[in-house]
Amino acid sequence: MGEIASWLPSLLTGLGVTVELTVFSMVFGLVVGLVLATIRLEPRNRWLYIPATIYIEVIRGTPLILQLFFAYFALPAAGIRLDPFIAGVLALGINYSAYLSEVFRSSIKAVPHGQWEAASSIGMPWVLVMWRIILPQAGRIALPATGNYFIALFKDSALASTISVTELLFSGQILAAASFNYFGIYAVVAVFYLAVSYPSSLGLRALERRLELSRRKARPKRVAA
Amino acid sequence: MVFTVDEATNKSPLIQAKNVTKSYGDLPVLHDFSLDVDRGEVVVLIGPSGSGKTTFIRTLNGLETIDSGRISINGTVLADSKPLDKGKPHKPNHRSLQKVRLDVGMVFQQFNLFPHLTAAENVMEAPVWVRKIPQKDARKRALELLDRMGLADRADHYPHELSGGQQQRVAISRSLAMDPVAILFDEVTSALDPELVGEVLRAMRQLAADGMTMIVVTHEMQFARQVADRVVMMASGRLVEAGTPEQIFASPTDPRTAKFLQSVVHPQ
Ligand SMILES: Nc1ncnc2c1ncn2[C@@H]1O[C@H](COP(=O)(O)OP(=O)(O)OP(=O)(O)O)[C@@H](O)[C@H]1O
Ligand SMILES: [Mg+2]
Repeated sequence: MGEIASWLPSLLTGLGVTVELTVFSMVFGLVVGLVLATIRLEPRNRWLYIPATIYIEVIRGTPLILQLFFAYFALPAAGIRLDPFIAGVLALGINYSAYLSEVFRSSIKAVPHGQWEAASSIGMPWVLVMWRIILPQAGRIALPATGNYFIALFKDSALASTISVTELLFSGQILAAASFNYFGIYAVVAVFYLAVSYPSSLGLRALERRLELSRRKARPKRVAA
Repeated sequence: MVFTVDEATNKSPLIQAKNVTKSYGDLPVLHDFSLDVDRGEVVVLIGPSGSGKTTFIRTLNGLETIDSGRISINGTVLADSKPLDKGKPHKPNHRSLQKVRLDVGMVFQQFNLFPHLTAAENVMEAPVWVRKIPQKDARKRALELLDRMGLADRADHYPHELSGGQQQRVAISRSLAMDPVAILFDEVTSALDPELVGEVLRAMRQLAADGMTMIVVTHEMQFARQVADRVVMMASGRLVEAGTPEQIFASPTDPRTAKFLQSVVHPQ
């Protein structure tokens, strides 16, 4: 028991780094993902559409761990030397932006076309239509998948241990190497991950249910066409 | 009057469509179609399914482009071209498009209310974000408009909490909120249960009485008879005939009109 208590300070610090890594990468992924999704709504705009598509295919077609290695070990050869944490955020953020952009793109497309037409017909320019009318609706559609990616990212952030970011898993490895109590330490590390991911997925499901409820309520009152 | 009609000395028609032609791929939809609409006029467009009624009124606020012809609305030229240089659709420039959309309102068959906003917020959306009117003033105006549509007690309801007829009246209020010089109606009662049609037609009748310029696509012949200044019959993308409701309904000159009216009055 006392042994576990002695691990806690460094594991808690590690968990803090894991959470930071997750949040920063997620914000990066959301912003870049949204930009990519917007670009890919309009295939006729080839000079943006093609590079965006290549970006997405390259990222989705290569392992995340390779992208991490690239950011941390390969970029210095090009004269770009990144702090491990920054390299981790960059690689994780870029990786998730590619997946999230596909979620956003399909969610935006799932908003009925009539919404675009109605908003345009009252004089709203494209940016306003997107921001005020389409994205709030697309956001609701995108929420479940985005939430799942968020939790997946939280766990994937453990890969940053391979580029020496002292997040939760790496903190555990350091302790394990010193005490040889692999079973005990990795069990506690697992509990730490679960302590964040399980409540998150419960919260997410509750949120989804609430949105579904408001949609279900709409049905009986809908007028038959 | 809840909207302001600009009584300018402008003598030319408010809406002018001249020799409008449009095809979808190989399918011609509008054929040399011309129609002028004066200020305060109510024009009802009738014609069989697929005759191009929807396509035509959508060209009037730039939701569809045209291949050739000329469209001008309230002095803004939306499209103007010679018979086309090989297939390139005539794209209106951004400024005229914006101006025309501010001038012309549109009400859709499927209402298309914004589901994440309440009735009042639907109505306020464009005044607040496009015209930059302060929230408070915009809300006051929205409540007035909704009240006129008999929806005073529904202002803070979301669309899914409203009946189809109520939703459609919110949609009409939303388009009125931008003080359009004309409103286009595309079969706005077709998606409604029969018992809800009357309340929407009543609102439209009121609007017509107030002097709003309206182009109405509808199969409600009673409405056309009572409210239209002019009835325009379309078939296969062409104007078949136009005239007062009396002329068209009592003594149509074209057999296609007679046949169409027969089918609407006595559907099998
Ligand atoms: N986006 C489109 N792509 C291809 N064809 C289209 C498109 N929209 C309409 N059409 C075709 O154009 C023709 C005219 O359609 P339109 O909707 O204007 O007719 P309408 O008079 O409004 O008919 P209805 O009374 O059924 O609403 C039809 O043959 C239709 O199939
Ligand atoms: Mg139609």
